[in-house]
Amino acid sequence: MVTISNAHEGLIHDAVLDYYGKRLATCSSDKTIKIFEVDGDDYKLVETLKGHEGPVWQLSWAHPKFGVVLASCSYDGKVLIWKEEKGIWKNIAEHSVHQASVNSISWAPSEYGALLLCTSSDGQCSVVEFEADGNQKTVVWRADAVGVNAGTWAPPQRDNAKEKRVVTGGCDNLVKIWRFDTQKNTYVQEEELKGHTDWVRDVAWSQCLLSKFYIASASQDRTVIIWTKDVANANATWRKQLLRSDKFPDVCWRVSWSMSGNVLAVSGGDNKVTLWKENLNGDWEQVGEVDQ
Amino acid sequence: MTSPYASTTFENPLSLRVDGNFLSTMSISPNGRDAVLAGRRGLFVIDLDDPFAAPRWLHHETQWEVADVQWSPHKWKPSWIVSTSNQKAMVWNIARPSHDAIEHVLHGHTRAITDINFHPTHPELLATCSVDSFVLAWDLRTPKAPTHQWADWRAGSAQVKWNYQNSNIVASAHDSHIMIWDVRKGALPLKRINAHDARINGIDWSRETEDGLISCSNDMTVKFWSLNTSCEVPYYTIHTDFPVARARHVPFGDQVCGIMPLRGGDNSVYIVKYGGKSGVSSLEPSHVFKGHTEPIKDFLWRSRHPKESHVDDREFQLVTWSQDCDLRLWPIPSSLYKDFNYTKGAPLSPGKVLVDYDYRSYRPEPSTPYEDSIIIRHRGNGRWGYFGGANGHRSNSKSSHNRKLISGLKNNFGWNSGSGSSHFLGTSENPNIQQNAQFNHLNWISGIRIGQSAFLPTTSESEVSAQPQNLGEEVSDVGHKFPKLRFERISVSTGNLVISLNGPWRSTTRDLDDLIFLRVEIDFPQDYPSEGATPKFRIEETHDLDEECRQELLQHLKEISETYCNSGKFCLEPCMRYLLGENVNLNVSEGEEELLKFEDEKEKSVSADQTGKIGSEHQSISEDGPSSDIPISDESSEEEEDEFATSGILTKPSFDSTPVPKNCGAIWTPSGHLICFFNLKEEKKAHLIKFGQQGFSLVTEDKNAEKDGNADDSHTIMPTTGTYHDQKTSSVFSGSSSEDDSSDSSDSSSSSSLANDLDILQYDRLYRMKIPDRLRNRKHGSSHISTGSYTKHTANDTTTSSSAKNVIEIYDFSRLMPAKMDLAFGYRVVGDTPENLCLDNAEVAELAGYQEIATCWRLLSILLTEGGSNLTTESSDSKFFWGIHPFGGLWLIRKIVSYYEKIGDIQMLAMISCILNEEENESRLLPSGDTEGSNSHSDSATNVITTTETVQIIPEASSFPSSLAVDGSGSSTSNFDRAVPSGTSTSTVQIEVKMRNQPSLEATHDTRCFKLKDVVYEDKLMLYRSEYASLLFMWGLPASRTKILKFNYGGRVEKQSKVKIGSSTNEYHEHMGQVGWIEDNEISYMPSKWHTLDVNQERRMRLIEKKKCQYCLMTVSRMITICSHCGHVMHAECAMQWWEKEHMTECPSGCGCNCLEHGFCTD
Repeated sequence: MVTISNAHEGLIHDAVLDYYGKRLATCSSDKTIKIFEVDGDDYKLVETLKGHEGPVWQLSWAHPKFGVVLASCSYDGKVLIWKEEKGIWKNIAEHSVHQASVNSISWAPSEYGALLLCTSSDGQCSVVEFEADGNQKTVVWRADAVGVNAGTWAPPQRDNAKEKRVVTGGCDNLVKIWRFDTQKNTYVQEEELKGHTDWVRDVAWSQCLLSKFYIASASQDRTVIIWTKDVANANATWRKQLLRSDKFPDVCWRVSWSMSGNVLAVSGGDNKVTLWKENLNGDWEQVGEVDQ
Repeated sequence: MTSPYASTTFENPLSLRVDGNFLSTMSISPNGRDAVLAGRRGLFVIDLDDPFAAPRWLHHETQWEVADVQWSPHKWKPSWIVSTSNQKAMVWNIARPSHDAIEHVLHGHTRAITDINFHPTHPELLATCSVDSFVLAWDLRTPKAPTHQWADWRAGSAQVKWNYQNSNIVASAHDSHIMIWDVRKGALPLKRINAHDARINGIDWSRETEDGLISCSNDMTVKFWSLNTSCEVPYYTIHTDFPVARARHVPFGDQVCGIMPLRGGDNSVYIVKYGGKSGVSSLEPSHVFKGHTEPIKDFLWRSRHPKESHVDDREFQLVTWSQDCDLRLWPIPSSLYKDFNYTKGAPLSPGKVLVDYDYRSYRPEPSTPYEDSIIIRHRGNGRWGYFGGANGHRSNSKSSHNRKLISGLKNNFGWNSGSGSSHFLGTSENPNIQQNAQFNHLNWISGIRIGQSAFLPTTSESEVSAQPQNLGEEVSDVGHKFPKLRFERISVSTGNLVISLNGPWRSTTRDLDDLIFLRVEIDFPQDYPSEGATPKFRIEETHDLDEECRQELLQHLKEISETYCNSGKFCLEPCMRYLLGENVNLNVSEGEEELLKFEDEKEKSVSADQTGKIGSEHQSISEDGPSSDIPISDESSEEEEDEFATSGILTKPSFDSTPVPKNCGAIWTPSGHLICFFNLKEEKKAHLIKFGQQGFSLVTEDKNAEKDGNADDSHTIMPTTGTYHDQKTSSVFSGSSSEDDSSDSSDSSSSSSLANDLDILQYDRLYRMKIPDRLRNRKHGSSHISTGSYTKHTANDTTTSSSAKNVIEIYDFSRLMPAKMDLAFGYRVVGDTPENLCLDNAEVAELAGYQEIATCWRLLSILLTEGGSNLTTESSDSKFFWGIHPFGGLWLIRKIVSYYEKIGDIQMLAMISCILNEEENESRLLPSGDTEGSNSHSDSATNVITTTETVQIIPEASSFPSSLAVDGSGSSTSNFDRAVPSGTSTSTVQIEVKMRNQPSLEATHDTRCFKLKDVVYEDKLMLYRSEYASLLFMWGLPASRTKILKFNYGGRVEKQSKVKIGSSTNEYHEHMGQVGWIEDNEISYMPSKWHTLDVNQERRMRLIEKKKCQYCLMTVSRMITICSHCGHVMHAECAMQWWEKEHMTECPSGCGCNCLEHGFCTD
């Protein structure tokens, strides 16, 4: 088990491993991003990236076919793209359409290309596409009156791989699903999922695509809701299911689906991480716990 | 204060929250005025008579929990304190300046010291005992080496106590027995008492008799011994229902003792009369001091008596220190004195003298001449200074203390700033630095509760709206509400405050954009707040401040304070609001809400700048939960805002809806690891682990346990439904429970435990604590959630950089993942008959310990096996396949698939889809129109191998229909392709077909090879494979990935060629990568343009540069092979691996090109 203490001076806001599990990127209130090389139980700090002017909220590694590329978003309203080439990290692009803190970023499934979804406290979401010719194409739309706290992509469906969807959660306590409309060239709202009574802090769309879509949303109302929908049936509606019937002991910050097997990790204000898995009866049961 | 009878705290209950729970033990000065708390970061000296004053902090960082601290009980050494620091004992003389207070270091033990005991009569003598089983006696005049040493040799010692009556006798507790030593007898023990069944935690000699001894132990008993009578049997035993940490005589009364549980026992101290008792009884306390919420760490008695008294008229107060971080003073009800047969004013027993101690506190830092010369400024010239003659020394010493506290924090605060702000304490120039400061005086003050409310549970929320109880609470409230105020001096006991701030007072017309510096001194009268008892304000003259304006300010402050005080309300807050430029409503009856009201325009104009921040922050928080505060780590918030404002990046919206940062998170990685990050918050209950006296041995145990735990972790496979508990924590717990073990369980030396930095780090993380702030509960009361997390942030900022405040951990949870990486290494999808593949895979799964998966593979192999081959030769004629049985094939396969889909095992799904697909391919390959051919094929038992060999080449065959091996007309010609190294030549084998029982078999042949497609949509099968393929890729198994993908691409091409879809509308089109930020992006990767070899050299080279090896997906530069047909590139080494070792015939990219047939161009 790797343990890194005091990687940053300030609060840590995100830590992600790259596609191969070799590089760990962390970001913090100290406005820096740190890259660690992780090998077994050893780790080594290889780079500290500075460029943001506020706390860095979230990081996202692009698919390796785009190179070693990392995106970061910050309170300063900017999204920076970092790339490593021959051991040198460079800031290669900047995306600053937002008027307020950018709270989350998420690379699209690699099939769509280099698309990055950003959600911001100014109530807008943007998808920026980094095209092969070096251009950036940006789509911005308003998703919430107050602020959007999290957003992520739907897994690509094979039969209509061109159909892009994203899910966002915001300060209006709603989870919203948006579909890309090629005619209008923007994202249009497809679903509005009501269930939370306080700000939605995180949404995660499971990338395991078997019989059902799974979306998990974590909220400050101390609940996590699992939204499911049949893949095959296009007319099916989203079904709502509370992850646990009673409330969590504290606010829920973050949800994350495992790459396979649909294990959900929930982290909350009590500094505890719980792991959940659906049993054969369709009920969610806790299968693990990590304590600070 | 020179007399203990002037003490305001002696007769009152008092609760002192000393957060920063690095403090473990306590002792009290003999005069009863000071308490010392000791811990891993040094000593805290607290003046119990002036709890509001910041404690004196003597820094001493140790890795080890401090097992004991003792204040010298002797009048002639009133400033001496001894504390443990692992195997050393530090002798402090706190009459010296804090940085130089260590007088001696007693180094004689080889292992952690567990107890210190001063000699009862001789001020220079003391005894220490240690885990190393030695008991050493020291003479502080010759501190280099111990004067006596005794050893039990076997068991580490937990306690050592000098006899009160016979100063040559020492008792020490070793594990479950007690040794009595005599200074004059050398190393031989006087007596050995096998006292208990478990470890002894405490022993105490009687004050009155030489042979009276109390011992208490983990075996849940307290035993009373009269050693002259019997060393075998105690005359009285008390059975408790908790392990007993201490049982000690109460200094007053007749044969009374206090019993303190190690854990449990309601966290109380029990007072028991044992006079005249004998035999065995259960615990029957005469009085219980109950109230702590966590186990008590120590209890002591504070006493006072008049000087030169000839009668015994001492008064007592109980002082307890608990793991709940409360230091409590408990007054003794007079009924208790009576009950214990203690009559105040009774004549002293003969020979007994009450020692008159100097009633002074050692909390103030002693002054040095050097400092005196620098900082004292005297009152005069119309300006006022903070120090007046007599007062000078004390204030002065405070500030030197302050400097010491803060200098460690890279803080410039101190008298060098020159403006006279040189004094006091805790809070510093900048509110954010204030948060950074390790020691926050305001927080200290807010942790103090006096009087009846002292022992009430702190239910934080309700407190917030309530009126403060006393000046101390008011100051801490105001301090937390107005971070812009700088408290330069807080002296609650004398009612004196010095506050500096910036207010809009350049002229009498307030201009909120033009702030000037103000310094205000406030003197609060004793009976504040009540009618007539209004505080006195003084405002320092500065050149910015107009005299007229100053008078007006004073006038207004007077009005405000009088209005409030006359109605019995605290006035500090409205006065400060006024000084900050807000309008204060003097109509008190309208209540708090009115009072806090802002003028609208004012709020607007102010909101961006300094003073207004307080108000707006307060409001927005109460509105919406999350605080609008920007979580900023180090720099001040002002700076942050300024930055934004000036650079214009961010025009701040009226309402900043940025959510509060997430304090912890967990993110999955593809390999089934879970990255967790935690920003450590205050651990109120940081003592997950009770630190035994052998602090050191505990650590090694932890370490071992942890290693074991981790080792187990990696080998055992838990059932997926089992709850997984963090191994580390649990092992730590086990470590702590083995605390009672004697020293032989931990025999590694201290240096070896130091060797592993990481372990110490982890250990640190668990033990290292911060000074927390109670600000959490007070600052933003209305929104529980957000404020909690916000202040967690600030709490983090108050920590030093050396202590752990955040941690990232990566846990291996791959056992929870249904897809197993280890299986992927062993699995085979091609290269044998499906049934054999199934058996192989079953073996792989079994070897890896996945019984369920192994069983599934076995089942599948049975399904695929012809019944005949397993049975006798006779029945081999009647071919029987489970595949056609209603309970076999379709039904079972459907069940299996749906099961694995439910548990989300993409690996099994993909593997099944591939292996069963081979069957499918086989049947597909059989010329469907030609029954004869197909019959003959399925018919002939000898032929089976051959046909499946054919299967091996199906994918490429199907991708290139022209080279289809089985040509439909020739019923029994098979194409052997795979073993051919050159890739171009093919050999055909003629197989003679015997036809038997043709008619009876005709019906069965088609159903033998049940089609997976019938159960699952093909799209889905392909999805399984592609998902699994991407998983394999992440696991670093490109070869396996390609094998799996082959099924997808093979099928697809074949399908297309059949259906003849000209346009590729529905084709799964993979993005080829290479995003715009790559410099020379004019070369895009277009394989279709590559089919000719006559690409010019230069272009080819450039393309190669940008290309990746199709096998390992690394960029290629040289030593490459390029297929002349599809143009895919591989490293030469990879090509070797692919074609030779893996015996592949098809391009690893999955494009379907049969590269071996086309030849390569190498470079």
